[in-house]
Amino acid sequence: MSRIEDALKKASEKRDETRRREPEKAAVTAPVMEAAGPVEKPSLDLLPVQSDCLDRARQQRMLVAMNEPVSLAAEEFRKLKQILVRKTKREGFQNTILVTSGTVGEGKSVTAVNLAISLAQEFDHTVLLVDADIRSPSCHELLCMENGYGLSDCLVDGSPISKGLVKTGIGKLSFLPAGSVVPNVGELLASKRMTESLAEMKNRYADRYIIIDSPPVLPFAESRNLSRLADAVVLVIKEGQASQADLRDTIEALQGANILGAVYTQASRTHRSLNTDAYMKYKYYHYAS
Amino acid sequence: MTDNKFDTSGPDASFDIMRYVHLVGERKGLFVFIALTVMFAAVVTSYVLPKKYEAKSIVFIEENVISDLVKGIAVTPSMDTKIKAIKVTMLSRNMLSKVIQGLDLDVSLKNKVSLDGLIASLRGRIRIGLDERRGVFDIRFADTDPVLARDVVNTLTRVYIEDSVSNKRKESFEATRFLAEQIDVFKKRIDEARKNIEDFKVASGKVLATNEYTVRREIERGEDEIKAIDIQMNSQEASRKVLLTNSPSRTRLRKQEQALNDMLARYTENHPQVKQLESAIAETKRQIAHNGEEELSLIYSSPEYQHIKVQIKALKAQKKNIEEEIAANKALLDQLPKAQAQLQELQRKEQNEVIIYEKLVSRYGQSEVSKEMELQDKAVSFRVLDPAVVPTIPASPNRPLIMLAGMAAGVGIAFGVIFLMDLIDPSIKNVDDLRAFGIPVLAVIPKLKNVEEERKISRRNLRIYLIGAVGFLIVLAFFGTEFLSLGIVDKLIEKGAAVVQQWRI
Repeated sequence: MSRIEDALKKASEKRDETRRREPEKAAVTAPVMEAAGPVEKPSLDLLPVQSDCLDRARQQRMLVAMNEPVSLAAEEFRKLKQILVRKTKREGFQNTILVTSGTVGEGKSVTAVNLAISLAQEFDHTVLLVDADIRSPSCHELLCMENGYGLSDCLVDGSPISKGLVKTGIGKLSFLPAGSVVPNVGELLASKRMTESLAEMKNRYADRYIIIDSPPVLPFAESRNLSRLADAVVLVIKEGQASQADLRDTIEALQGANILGAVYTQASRTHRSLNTDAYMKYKYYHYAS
Repeated sequence: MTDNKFDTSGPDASFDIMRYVHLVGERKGLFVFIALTVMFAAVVTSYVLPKKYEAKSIVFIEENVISDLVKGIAVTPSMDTKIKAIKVTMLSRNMLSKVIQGLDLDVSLKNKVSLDGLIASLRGRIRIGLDERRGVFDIRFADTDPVLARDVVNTLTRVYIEDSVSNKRKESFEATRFLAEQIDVFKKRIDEARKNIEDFKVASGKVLATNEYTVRREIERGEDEIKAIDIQMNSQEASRKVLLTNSPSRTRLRKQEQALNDMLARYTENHPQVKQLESAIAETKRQIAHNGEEELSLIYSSPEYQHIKVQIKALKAQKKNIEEEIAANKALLDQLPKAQAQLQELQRKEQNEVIIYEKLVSRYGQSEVSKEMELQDKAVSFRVLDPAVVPTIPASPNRPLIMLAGMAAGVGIAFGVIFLMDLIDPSIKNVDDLRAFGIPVLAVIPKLKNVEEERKISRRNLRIYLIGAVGFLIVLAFFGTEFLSLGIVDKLIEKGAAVVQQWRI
């Protein structure tokens, strides 16, 4: 055991070094890592690195879907996943799901990441999590990863999306970081290239869910475009945050998009659906782990 | 199973209460701040408010033993009315004016208006409590000056008692005087009624004196007598007729006729003796026809006939008398009922007057006794059980009460503010708000645990609880000292004021 641990430690050190070098090497290494395409050849090579991420992610309290599978929140994400799966498979396979909200800080990224993890834990689906919130990306922090070469870089460079993909090691979850901050985010995400990239992502794998974490609707323009590109939109609403007028405006801004429903976050314990502590104690319908 | 939560109905009451409890929990900092601010404001207010001292005197409404003894004889006003009158009388302008004059409170007054104001102010501040069961009433008055408070109460009590005693005497005198007048009036009326009766009796005394039974007996007797007289008269008449027929020629004629009858039995009509006798009869008849009047006048002048005639006359006169008597008696019988009714009417009138008169006289006696009682102060009197003394402990402000109210208000206002904030807050606060937009709720995700943040929050909560508890304890401490009236704070304030003054000098 100790030897394995030593090996892991070394590997992680090595990974850290590569990480540190990554920004300048990204252009060179990334194709090696990911441009190989769908064949997951470098997986052996990357495994230790990811396990390191995984280790840290295991400590990430926000990833309830992974780290606290018995918790109420995880259960709720599971329900969310089931509903989405059911709804998206009803008419064809609408696999592109945009997660957005009206205002800042309602829990989009947490929802997106947890939903992605929850989906990825199922055997049937591969999942791609795209952090489209280039202005202030946060999915990588939740996943304990670096915001390396990502979406914005791909779009700027014109290189294929697959170049930025990172395997997380959580089920079959791949992650596309936001990439470096660019001044013209709105234009970038509204560009034809973005549309094409998204179409490519969508069509590459038949069973892959693409969860897009996006900036808030009201202050920025990006999500309005993205919502029309995506097959479905999940609106994240935090308790006591956005006013009813905000919500109305949001819905209006998302006109034309297919709003599947809302995820109500940071709910206080007074909600009836959350008063299930007694059940949780018995682990009555605990099946995730 | 997942769809179940979409069709939850509206929130029920217990759910709502939990929501507000939770709301307070979320904003406990604000809650504690507001609550403590209000509580401390109440504490400060309770100390800043000027102290008022309340003087109180208790007056016993004493019912003397005599009043029980003379119950029904002497008339004393009932306890009930007295007690009811006390309040009204005591707070009357007259009474209060006397108090103001007695205490020279009007020295500083400038005009009538302010006197009215003073009276109104006194009236508003004087409290009169009645305890009918014990027959006690108390008078209270609160003022910043304890001596004045005492003086007002004592003066008012004194003035009232004096006034009420003199009033009662006056009433008693009045009553006696009135009764005396009425007695005179009724006396006159009785006399008049009696005189009427006398007059009537004089006027119809004969009628009234008759006894109906006797009169009827008398009438019957008279009728009997008349019958007897009639019989006597008849016999006298008969004997008179006999006398008239017994003249000598008629007697001879009768004898002759008798002899003729005898002869005719023996002889025929042609017998000479018969013929002779017949001619003798004819002769006699002729004599009678010729000398009849003479013979009759002879009879008339005879003493027997005269005697009979006188007797008949006497009998007639007697009969007439009796008949008159009967008529008179009958007339009497007719008059009697009417006269009797009239008399009874008059007597009844008199009787009525007498009854009232007697009552009046007896009442007059009672009122005399009552008057004497009042004069000697033997009737109900007021006894001051507890004269007011200079109060040492202020009655107002009621600090414990104010503090208690402050505590309640603090919690209430804090809760209210939070409730109001929640009401004003337009943000989406529960899942039902979302449903109004027609968006299905896919999941309700509780707050995710953040150990560090939670620690921070719990540290902050601890601080809030601590501040709240300490603040509340301080308020409680104030409340306790005031509730037990230890007076520590007052002493401290006094000392502080003294120090400040010294420091200024």
